[in-house]
Amino acid sequence: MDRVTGVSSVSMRDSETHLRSILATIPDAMVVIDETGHILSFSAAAERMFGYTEEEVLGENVSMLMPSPDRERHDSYLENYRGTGERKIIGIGRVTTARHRDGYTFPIELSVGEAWLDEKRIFTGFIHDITQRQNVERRLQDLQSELAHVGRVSEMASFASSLAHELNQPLTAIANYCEAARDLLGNGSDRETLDTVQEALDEASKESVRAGQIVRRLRNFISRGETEQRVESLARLITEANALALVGSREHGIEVQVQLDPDADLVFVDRIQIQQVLTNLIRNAIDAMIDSSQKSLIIRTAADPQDYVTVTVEDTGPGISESVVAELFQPFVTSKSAGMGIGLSICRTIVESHGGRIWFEERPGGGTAFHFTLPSAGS
Amino acid sequence: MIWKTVRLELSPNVSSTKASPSRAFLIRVPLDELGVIDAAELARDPLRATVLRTWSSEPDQFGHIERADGHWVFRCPRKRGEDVYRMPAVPLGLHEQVTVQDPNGATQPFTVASIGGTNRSSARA
Repeated sequence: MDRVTGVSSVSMRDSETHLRSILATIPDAMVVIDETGHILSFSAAAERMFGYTEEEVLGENVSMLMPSPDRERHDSYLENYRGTGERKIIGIGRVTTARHRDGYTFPIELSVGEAWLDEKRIFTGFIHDITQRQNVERRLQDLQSELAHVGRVSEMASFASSLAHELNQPLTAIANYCEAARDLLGNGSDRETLDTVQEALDEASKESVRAGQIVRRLRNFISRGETEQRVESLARLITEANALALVGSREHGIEVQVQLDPDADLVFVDRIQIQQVLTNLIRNAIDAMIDSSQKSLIIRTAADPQDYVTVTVEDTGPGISESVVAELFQPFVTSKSAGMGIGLSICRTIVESHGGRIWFEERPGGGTAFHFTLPSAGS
Repeated sequence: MIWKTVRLELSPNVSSTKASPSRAFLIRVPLDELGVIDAAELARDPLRATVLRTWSSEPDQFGHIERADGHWVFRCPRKRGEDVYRMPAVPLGLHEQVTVQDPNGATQPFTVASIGGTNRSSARA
């Protein structure tokens, strides 16, 4: 029996050594916490990614690795999971943001697993830094595809106007030909009249084919454009959009502040479209601050008494050139040297299609604040 | 004059015997070679002097730094009003101690855990 136990212990030690050697070399960070969120293990990759040593963080609350609002909410996330068993991230994974020891925020992909060890529950988080462009290339391609799709939907608003005009022409012609045929048949049914009626019906038929072609063009245009509005958490939309917009921005030293009103969390929106609005505004804000000495990006939400939620994206850049202020939300208007100037136009189309509005104003201390409203889905 | 990011971490004290990296201030200030915050330089670009307070399980606080009553004052706006923290105007040396008085008047010891390099714009300045 002792011999068996001895062999078993050696085997376990070998396994543990093997496991440790794997964990020491994998590029993803691994953080193990207990069920109250206190750190039990912090891998070498985690030390490199976050700037803390394992010795420093053991026993600390894992929320120290997160920026607001996750920092102050994480304890309640765990409490909620312990109470309800409802999985919001475990086994699912998500894109979010993390906070380095030096204070900067960076985008990560987080996967969390759950296990029981000696009757104690532990959670293991695998953290993938998606700052490095080559590692997110595939994900960005997916996102670009989605954004292109959303862009087409947004353009639909302006296309719809001209298509309605085009469609009106054959429909009017069909109505005219049919009325003429009816009037002719009312006056008699001689050969000449019947020939004229047949001619009118032929024309009506051609016009209906033309109308059908216009409808098919419209259908092809929007074939990937179905929007899907549902109740979404604004906190989650902002966190994900912020993470994606921050990709590649670390070297600029942007200070990111996210200030969320808990009474303004649930909104009734198309997730992909609103994330595009947020990503556009955040990217614009980052671009605007590249040459500023102060680089503060502030994203805040506020409940509106009129059943709307207001989202604000503020920067401390130089502000918007007076030459483009009046037409800023028009397509192909931009103050950037590189850029087509359709981002804000698309933002406006998306926001207005949700029943909201978008506007901007100068910040008192310098910079620009963009605001948009979205329909609240209540608490 | 170089702008630096200085990290102040809560030191062991009467309420905790362990230093706590999860309770910290990150201040961006112009430092001279002795670690003294240059008041004149800061006055030239006051919006650049920022503070980030990260405190375990509490919302991040951001604010600006200014000189008042012989102290460096960290003003962090809240939804209503602001929280004010005060640090004596002493040199900031790596691993040295400073005290910070919180809005309730309690003074806590902090260690200068790191003094970061310049950012891109400071290097140009």
